[in-house]
Parts: sequence; structure tokens; C-alpha cells
Amino acid sequence: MSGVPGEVLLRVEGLRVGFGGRGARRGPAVVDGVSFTLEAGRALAIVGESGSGKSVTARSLVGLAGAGAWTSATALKVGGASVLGAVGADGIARGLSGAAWRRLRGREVGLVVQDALVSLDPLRPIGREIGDALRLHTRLSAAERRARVLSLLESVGMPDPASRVHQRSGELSGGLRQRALIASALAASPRLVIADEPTTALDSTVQAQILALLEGVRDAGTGLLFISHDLAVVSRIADDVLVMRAGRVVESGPAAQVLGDPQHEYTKALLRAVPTGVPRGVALSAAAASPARPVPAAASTAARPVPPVSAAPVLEISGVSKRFGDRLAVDDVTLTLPAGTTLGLVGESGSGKTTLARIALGLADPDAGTVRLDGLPWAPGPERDRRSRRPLVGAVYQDALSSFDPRMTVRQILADALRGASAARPVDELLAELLDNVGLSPSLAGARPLELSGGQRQRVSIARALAPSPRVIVLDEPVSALDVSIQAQILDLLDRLQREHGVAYLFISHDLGVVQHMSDTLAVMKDGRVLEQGRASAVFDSPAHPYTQALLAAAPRIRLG
Amino acid sequence: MSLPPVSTVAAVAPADRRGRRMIGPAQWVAVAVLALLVVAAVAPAVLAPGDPFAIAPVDAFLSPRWGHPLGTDESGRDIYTRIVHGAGTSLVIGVAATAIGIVLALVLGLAAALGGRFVDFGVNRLLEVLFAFPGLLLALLVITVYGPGIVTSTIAVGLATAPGYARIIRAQARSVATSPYVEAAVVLGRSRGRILVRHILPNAVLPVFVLVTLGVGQAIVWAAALSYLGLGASPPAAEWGAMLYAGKNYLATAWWMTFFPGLAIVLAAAATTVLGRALQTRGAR
Amino acid sequence: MRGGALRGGALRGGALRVGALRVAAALGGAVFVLWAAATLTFFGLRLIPGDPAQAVLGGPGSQASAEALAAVRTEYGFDQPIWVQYLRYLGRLVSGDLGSSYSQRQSVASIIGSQIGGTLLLAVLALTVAWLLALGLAVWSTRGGRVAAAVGSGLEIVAAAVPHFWLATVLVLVFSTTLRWFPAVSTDAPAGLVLPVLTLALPLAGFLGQVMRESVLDALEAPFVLSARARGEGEAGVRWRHVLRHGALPGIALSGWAFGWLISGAVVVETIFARPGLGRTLLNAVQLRDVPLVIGVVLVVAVGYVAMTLLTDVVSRIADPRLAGVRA
Repeated sequence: MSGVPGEVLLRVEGLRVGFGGRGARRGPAVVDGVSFTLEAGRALAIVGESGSGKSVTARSLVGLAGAGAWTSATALKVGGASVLGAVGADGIARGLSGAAWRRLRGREVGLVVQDALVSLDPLRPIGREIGDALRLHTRLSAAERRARVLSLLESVGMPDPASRVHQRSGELSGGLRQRALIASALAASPRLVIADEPTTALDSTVQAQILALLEGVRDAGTGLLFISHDLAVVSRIADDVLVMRAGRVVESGPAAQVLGDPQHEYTKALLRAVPTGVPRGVALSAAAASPARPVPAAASTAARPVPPVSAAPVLEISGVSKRFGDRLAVDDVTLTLPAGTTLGLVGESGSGKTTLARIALGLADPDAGTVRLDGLPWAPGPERDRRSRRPLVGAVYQDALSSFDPRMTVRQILADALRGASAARPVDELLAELLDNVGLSPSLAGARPLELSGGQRQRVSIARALAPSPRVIVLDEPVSALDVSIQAQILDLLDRLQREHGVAYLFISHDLGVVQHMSDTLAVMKDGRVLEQGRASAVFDSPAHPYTQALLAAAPRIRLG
Repeated sequence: MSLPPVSTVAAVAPADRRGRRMIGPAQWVAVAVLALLVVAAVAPAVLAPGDPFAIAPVDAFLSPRWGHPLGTDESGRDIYTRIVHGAGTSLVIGVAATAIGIVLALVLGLAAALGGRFVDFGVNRLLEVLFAFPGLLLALLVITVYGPGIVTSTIAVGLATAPGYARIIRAQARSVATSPYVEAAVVLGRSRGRILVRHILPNAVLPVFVLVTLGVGQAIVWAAALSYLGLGASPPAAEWGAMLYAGKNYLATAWWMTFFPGLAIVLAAAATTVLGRALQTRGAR
Repeated sequence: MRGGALRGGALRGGALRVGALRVAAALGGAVFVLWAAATLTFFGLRLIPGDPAQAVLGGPGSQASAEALAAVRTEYGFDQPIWVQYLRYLGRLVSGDLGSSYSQRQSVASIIGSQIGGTLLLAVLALTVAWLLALGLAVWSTRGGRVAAAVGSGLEIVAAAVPHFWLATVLVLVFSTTLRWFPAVSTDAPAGLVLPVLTLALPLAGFLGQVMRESVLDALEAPFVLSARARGEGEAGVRWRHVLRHGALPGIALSGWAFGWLISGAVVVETIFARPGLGRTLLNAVQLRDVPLVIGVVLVVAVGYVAMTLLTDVVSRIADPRLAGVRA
């Protein structure tokens, strides 16, 4: 399994990768001049946001950058041997022959590809998928392969491997799928493992388990190349860190140095954008940043005054339950949201937070219990009774794009939301103010949401929620689809809007760090129940429920050393 | 019981999600073919000045040659002239049949998608039953009731294509009605009527234009098939299917009598298919 | 190990029970569809204007004698109230009595019995050929390269725009009239089946091939294929072990529909190739307005269609375990 400690498994010098074209007309490089080395028994993390070229870099090491990709490098050695193949006059490497690449893939380099949830063939049992690497790279008999697959599953912590081996990925939970996928990458005992976003889309407690598993792999002497957008995750596992932006390396070095004492502005901005442990009211994004905040998490005194959690409740959820078939999605939940404050609702997938949000929005009637808005009954009840008070409530969704009518422009969307808001002023004026409020250029008014970036879409979505001057906005995972720096901007924006407009937020997220940063009060949900609630600071400082403690322990935060 | 995926039932293939299709040469050819068809339908004399019914027994069964580029039939009528003059009939049949099918489908599909659970259940059962008379069979039943002829066969084709369209429209309307942007409109406090008019209907009905485009070519083919079987337009009408019917007895000796009218049908159907696809891809983006 | 096996057994037992319920529901649905189809046909054909007895005897043009009309009225119970007629009709259907054909002076059941074999042979052969062609084309046309891509995108045009009657004409001209390889009149001899089977199979292959191709392209772009390549799987392995199955899935799901489509196509193809079978029988019956025969053939086709749909449903669920949890 292992290499000799200190042995250089990967040497990359001046790597450039691009797509399309040939010769002089070849497409622009999306990876431009990347260099690093990786030794056995060490973990190197490549960190960057979407479009930084980190995944392309990783895949080009095994010749899987994609159709039409071209590669050039001064040196590109995997396991001591060059994989550049013949190099043309234009500097473009031919790469290895198909057969030579295939000998390398799986045996020399194990690749845990992105999207763990869909990276195993849904039509084949996982045992077959894992056994494939053995079939391709070893001379083991079918029986020996079966035995080896079982021991592999055992080693990645798969419970009850003997029966799991016959299951297909669809029958496994996200964490178990990722374990199976890692087992398939480890099957032929490669000396180098590349893991591309292996913890993304997993719940944070599962994330922690997968990280521990990969740590074990590294400690067994395998070289680990770890690709991630998540600095907190990286800080847990990486010995060395390489920060990429737009195809270039902006900073690299030992993890403690890069994350503890960043030199480049971009690295600093990325670190500043991590919300975990950053008090309420402190700006996360570079644009809004006050004097450089020490990283990480040294308590800032610039926090806003103690939130008025004693203010009159604007949203009261009492004894609410909702059942879908056999499953109790929401089980006797009682929550109160004081005016002008944020109630953070945190829980893992399937905990019932989205159902609760729909009930709070009056989109789904609870089976039991009531919701009151501004002291008056809100749900359950016929939609007709709610309609006149709808302007009091806004909603922001995770997938902003699908919440816009595809035929409408930004102007139409917002003008529609402004209908009946204030007859005193012309719509155009209100619209301009709204765009300005959420930091969007007026020139975008004519655009369709499809043409906007993820961050811009979420701003439009916030503007729409804000248009009728609501008392409450329900935000369901508003930043989980965004890059960390964009997330920071959106969180800052939400914070500012709350201060300026006095609107209360029901803020739903799976990300404890984000919730901690945003919330005045906090509720932890699991399996439809609220396990713990109270002042956010109190819950974070002394969590009472074991689940909350586990969640906190697993929360992504920057750790050094 | 389950039926094939919605998008594939009506011999209308699923959308090309990748948008690989651009406006390329194939699309331009399709536009040109359709333009020619429309000219032939509106002013056939421009393309073929002759009389499609002019009988010249001396010139019977002439193979393609100068003066008769596509040959002549058993009565010496010029095939080219007849094809051009038949375009109008074929096109009208295609459009009329599609219109019948789509209007019925709109009523059924929208009622099912928006009319509540019981209507949906009822319409779905009805569609399932209609699907048990696949393809031409439903059309043949209609013709059994009302007798053969050009009007009956047009109605028959319209009725036979309606269930497939209805499924597609129902699915489309349903996905719009349950979409997050409709929910967002509810959150904004919009009334059901306003949401229906402003969001649901436009988004559910717009894709129907793609169906219409794809459907006209299909309807032409189906109606021609009925004519070919002697159940639609009958000779000596200068309708493409009827020309095929007339020519099928002379296949061994005068192949051009069936080949060229058939080619006209294929070209018309291919052109609408290519164009419908291009529209669909654009719509998807 | 043993515990696992036991638990597996229990799981399977539960799945079986759920499966049995589902099969029962599906069968119930099938019976409903057949009942409704029979009902629709019964009342639909009552729409024929004029005397139904006259219609049974071939319409006003048949100049049937008064005695014949009276006999038909008694036989079919046209002198009874409509719901009595309907119940009698249903009762006869259940006992397998489809009435007797006016034009052929035989029981409808025996006519169908003698004709159904040829049509089924044609449909099964065409479905098989279309399947193989479609899957081959779908896998081949996604290999990259311009020719393959052009063939791939041409498939749907073939499917949508090439009607049976014209394709048959061209095939006969080329392979029968010119090359003299195959006869233009079909028999059950292998050579006599080639052209009709091809006529039915080619457009269907175009349609299935295009749907399968989409599915193959999706699979090729799926992360699990990247994952397989990263394991060291070669191009052939990727296609054989992973992509092929994903490509075949929509083909399986569409086979029920395809079967109905083939029977409908058989009307045209059997006529062109002068081949005995259900399709030609139906066409003759429609032309002669032989109502009992039309009803009989249409209902038999409906039964076949419903059975085929049930079958493809079951096969789909076996081939794609992800469907197991989805309600039909």
C-alpha cells in the first residue's frame, strides 16, 4: 500500500492545461503554470473556488482532464515516471498511450472523483465496482477478489460488509457511498490517492468520519492529493497547501504557514470568508472588511450590540407536526422568532428543516400545531386568509434560479414583487433603490436570471423577498450553493439588510459555521424534532444535547498544527 | 400500470438537453424546404404552371425525362406538377389534424394538471385506455365509424395523436404548476387566477408550439398512410398519399409514381422535425 | 455471515410482498384498461349512423335482405335495450366469443387465431432487429468523430420522417425489383421475411436508437464512468460494463410502446407485401366495415399491448433496481 517515506510520488512543474483547438489556435489555459511535489505519507491540498482549475489539475495527472484537453509541462512525473509522453514542437504533450495510462490509473494512482453520491454505477453492486480495479490490475482469482473486497470494505469502515457488498450505491447513504468509492480507489493499493472534494455534499458529522478515514490512508504511507474548496476541511488534513485562483497558484507552503500567516490577499480573503467562530455583525467579505481581522476566530469586539432577543415575537411556531406517509417529517416543534433578530435552524439532511420552512411560509399546512405571524393566526388555514398578509413574509431559496419564472427579466421579477408595495412612489424608483440595496448594478435589470452568476441570482432573490417590506424572511440554505467568498458577501449583505430594515430571519442551514455567524437564537433539529434551542452563544458555548455536541465537534473550522 | 416515459409516447423524441443542435446547414435546408412547401401550397402555379389533372394517354408511364422531370402516371399526368399541386392538400391535412390533436390534448392535459386530483385521475385512466389502441388503430376505429374519406381521415389522425400530446402537455403543466417559481408567487401573495395566467399558462403552453411543429410532419405521414391504404383521399386527387395509392399497382414498371410522392412526404416530415428540434433546443436555453 | 444472509432473506421476503402487491395493482390496472377499451369500442361503434344491423352487414351499400337483417337483430340483440346489449357483449367477450365476421362468414375468434401467428412473428423479429440495430448504433455513434455524430443525429429523422409505405417501396425497388435478392411478396420463409421485417425495424431502430443514444451520452458523461476510467477501465470495458446497460434501459421501457407501434405498422406492411396477418385482416375489415371483426382485432391488439406493457414494466424493474422504489 505504502511508498517509502519521503519518496517523491508526484512531481509537477509548470503544468498548463487547456481545452479545445490545436497548435497556435489552441484554447486558453485553464491551468497555468502549476508546480508542486508530493511525497509518500504526506497530504497536499489544492484549495480554490469554482473555476480555479483545481479539479482539472488533479485529473490531468491521470490523463482524464476531459475531451479536447491539451497539456504541457516542464515535468510531470507520477510515481517517478514521466506521463508527458512525446512532446510536440508546440510544447503540447501527447501523454501516455491509452494502455499505459490504464496501467497507471487505479494501480499507481487512485482517484476518488467528485460527486461521491453519483460516482458509483447505480446499476452494479458496489462489490463489483470495487472488484473491478482488482480484476484490471491483479491476477487474483474471483474468490480472492471477493475476499479482498470484503477486507477493503472493512478497512474503510463499512458496517456489515458481507451484505453491503451486494447492494447498489442507491441503497447506501451518502457517507457509505463515499466509503465505497474510497475503497474502490484504494483497491489495487495505489501509492498515491487523489481525492477530489471528497467531503462535499456530506453532512458535517459524516464529513468528519471521511476525513478521519483519509487521514488513516495518509498515515499508512500513501501520498494524498486533496482537492477542496473548504479551508476548514483542508486545515484538518493537509500537510501542505496550494491555493489556486483562475488557473494559477497564488500561494503555497506548509499548511500552518499558509493558513496561519497568509501572505497573499486572496488567501487572506478566503480565510476571512470562513464564518465559523466569527461573531455576529463582523463582516466576512473583503469588500466590507474593517481593518484586517486576525485569523482565525479571535473574538472581535466589533460585534454588534447584544441582539434584542427579548423583542416581541414576529413568528411563533407552536407544537407543529407534519407527517408524510409513515415518516414524521416535523415532530412537535415549537419555536419563536423575535422581531428584527435571526433564528438559526441547523440540522443535517432529512432533519425536517425544509418542511418546517414551508410550514412557516404557509405553503404546507401542519397536521397539528399552529403558526402565528405578528400575533395573528397564520397557519393552518385557507390561503385566502393569508393572502392580504403575505407581504409580511419573504422567502429566499437555495436554488435561486429555479425560483424565477424563466420568461422574466430581473426588472419584471422585481416589479412584480413590488406590486402593491407602495403606490406613493413610481415603480422605477423603488426598483432602482431595491437593486442598490442588494448591491446590484442597475444595468442588470434587463438581464434574465439565467445570464447572472450564482451570487447575483441570490441577490435578486433577496431583493424580491425584501420588496414588499416584510417583517420576516425565511431563508432556506441561502448560501450553500455558493463559493465561500460569494457566501461571505451574501452573508454580509443579509446582515446589513437586517440592521437597516429590522427584518427578522428564519435562517436554515446545514452549515453550523454559517448559522453560528448569523444567528441570535438557535435551534438544532434532528429527525423532525428540535433537540435544543436557546441563545446562539449559549448553545455554542455549552451545548446540552449530545447530538449538538457531536455536531459542534464536527463543525468545519480552521485548525492549525 | 405504467406507460412509456411521457416525452417519448407520441413518436416525439425527447429533447436534446445538451443543446448540441445549433442553427446549422440542416436547419437552413429545413427552412428552405418548408418555404418551398408553403409557396407550393399557396401558389402552386409559380412552381409548376401545368394542369395537375391534364390527361395525356400517349404520355402514360413515361420515366423521368426532360419535360417530365419526375415522370408521368398511368394517365400521362405529370408527377412533378401533381406533387406541387398536392402540397396544399397535404399541408392542410397535416395542419388541421395537428390542430385537432393539440386542441384536444390541451383541454385534457391542462385539465389533468390543474383540475385537481380526481380530474387528473380520470384523464390519466382515459389516456391509458386510448394508448391501448396504438398508432393507426385508433384512426382505423374512427374510420370504421364514419367511413373513409379525406375529412374523416384528417379527424382520425387528429384524434389518434391527441393522447400522446395530452401526456406531454400534462407533464409540462404539472412541472410548471409545482415549480419553485410558482411557489415564490404564492409567497408574494398572488391569487391563484393571477398565477395561472401570468406564470403557469405561458410556461406550460409555449412548448406546445414545438409540439405543433414536430406534429405537422407526423400528421402528414399518418394521413398519407391512411390514403395509401385507400381510406383517406382517393385518386385522382393530387394528394401525396393518394398518388402513392394509385402508383402501388405499378411499382414494378413505373417506380417513379410511388417513389417521388413518397419522397415529398419524407422531405416535409424531415423538415418539420429538424425545425421543431431546433425550436426545442432554443426554448430549452 | 449467517446473520447477514438471514437479514437479506427477510428483506427479500418483504420486497416480495411489496412486489406481489404491485403486481396485483398492475394486473388490476390492466383489467380496467381492457374493460374500458371494450366499453369504448362498444359505444363508439354505436355511433355509426343508421341501423346497427345494417352496419354489421356492411353498411347501406350491402343490400342485405330483410331476413338477414332480422337475423342479425336477433343475434346481436339490437331489439333489446342498450344496456342489455352491452352486458351480453361483455359476457361474450369474457367467454372468448368475439362474434362472427360478416365478410368472412366465420367466427372472429377463429379468423384471429389463424392470422395472429404471422403478425406476432413479424413483430417479434422486427422488435429484435430494431433493438440490436438501435443499441449498436447508439453505442457506435457516441464514439466521437463527425460521421458517427451525423449518423447519430440522423436517427430521429429516419424515425420521424420515413413512413413504412415509402420505405417498403424503396426496399422492394432495390432488393426485389432490381437486385432480385428477396421476394416482394412475403412468406414465412426466411427470405420472404427479410423485407417486411426491415421495413418495420428500421424506423423503430431510428427511434429507439436515438433515445438510447441520449442515454448512452448521459452515461458517458456521468461521474461513475469517470470513476471507472480512473480505476483503469479501458474504452471497451467502460462501454461493455457500464454504458451498455444504461443505454438499454430506455429501450426496455419503450418496448411496450414499440410493440403497439409495430402492430399498427403491420397494417401497412402486411398490405404492401401481401402477407396474411392481423393487420391486413383489420384493414380489410375496416374497408368492408365488418364491425365484429374490427372490434375483435382491435381488442386482441389491446390485450397484447397491455400484456407487453406489463412485461416491460417488470423487466425494467429487474434491469434498473432504482425503479424498485418508484410507484408505477
